[in-house]
Amino acid sequence: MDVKDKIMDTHNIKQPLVTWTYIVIGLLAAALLAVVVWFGLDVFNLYKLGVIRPAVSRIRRRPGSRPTLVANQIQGWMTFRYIGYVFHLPTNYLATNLKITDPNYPNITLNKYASGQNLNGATFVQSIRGAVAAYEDGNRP
Amino acid sequence: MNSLFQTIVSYILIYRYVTIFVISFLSSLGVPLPAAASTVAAAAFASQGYLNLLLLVFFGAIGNIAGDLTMYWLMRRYGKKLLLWLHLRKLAESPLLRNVEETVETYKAAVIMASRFQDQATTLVNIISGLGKMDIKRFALFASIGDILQIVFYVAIGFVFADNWQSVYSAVGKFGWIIALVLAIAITIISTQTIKKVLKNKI
Repeated sequence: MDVKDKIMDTHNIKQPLVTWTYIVIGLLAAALLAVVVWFGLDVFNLYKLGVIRPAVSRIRRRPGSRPTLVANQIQGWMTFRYIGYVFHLPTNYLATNLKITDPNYPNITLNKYASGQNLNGATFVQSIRGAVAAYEDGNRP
Repeated sequence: MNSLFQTIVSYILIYRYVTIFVISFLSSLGVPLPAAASTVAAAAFASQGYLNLLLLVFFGAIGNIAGDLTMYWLMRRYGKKLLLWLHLRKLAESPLLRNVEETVETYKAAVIMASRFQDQATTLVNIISGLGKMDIKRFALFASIGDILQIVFYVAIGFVFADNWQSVYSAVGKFGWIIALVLAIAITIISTQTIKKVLKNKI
């Protein structure tokens, strides 16, 4: 094959390559634009929900300060240990109050404990919320 | 929160840094786990004092680096065999794959580092770098810098949004996809230029 043929051969390969590159980049750019808009809407919603402002003030807050969670934010994926830590509960407060005897306490999630005891998950989480709220009411300065 | 993510967050609360390490390691290997969102959650717990911030960054970065280097090594050692095993002999012996080394060497450091911010992009770059037998020192350096920057970035988000970290969970995922798409465009352009150069050199 002489040099001219090689150039022709290369030309035949390069043309579709460039076309396909433009198509791929065009599709990726369109997808990028869509995700940027979607992300922008998310950020706007966060702003509307009032999430951005506390985050900005958080930067000025002392590191390690406890969050401002309320009892109603307790969820099934949380562990007894975490709830105790966040709400400053005495170690065995929940175990005593709710008669919990599981050997894994407090390092077990509310959902896992409830399913192990054949309890309704939502009802059990509600009872934990009630116990925490009662503790907070009783220890309010 | 979906049930997988809830399970991961629960494991973070129970096993702490071990979970962070395992999630970071597996996601760097290409296992589809919500590593970025998990880091944001863990950072929120750290901001509450439940986890130690420095240990979180340390174990997250170590997990990522270990995963990246493992995938790189596996692809460097067994990548071609894997392609042959998958009956992709044509691809394994194509001039383009033989020149993939040139392609990965032309990757700018920024591409390797930025790819750490999105799990799928991380895996793809690790595979290409391993298949192309990219210089290990160069890969390890840029991947490590990228991994540390990535962990610090997501930890900062979790730390700042501490009280509302669950609200930013979906936005974090979309941010990762923005990074991935920007990288995909960059890689397409770089690869095309390299292929053109290879074809030009054949004449």
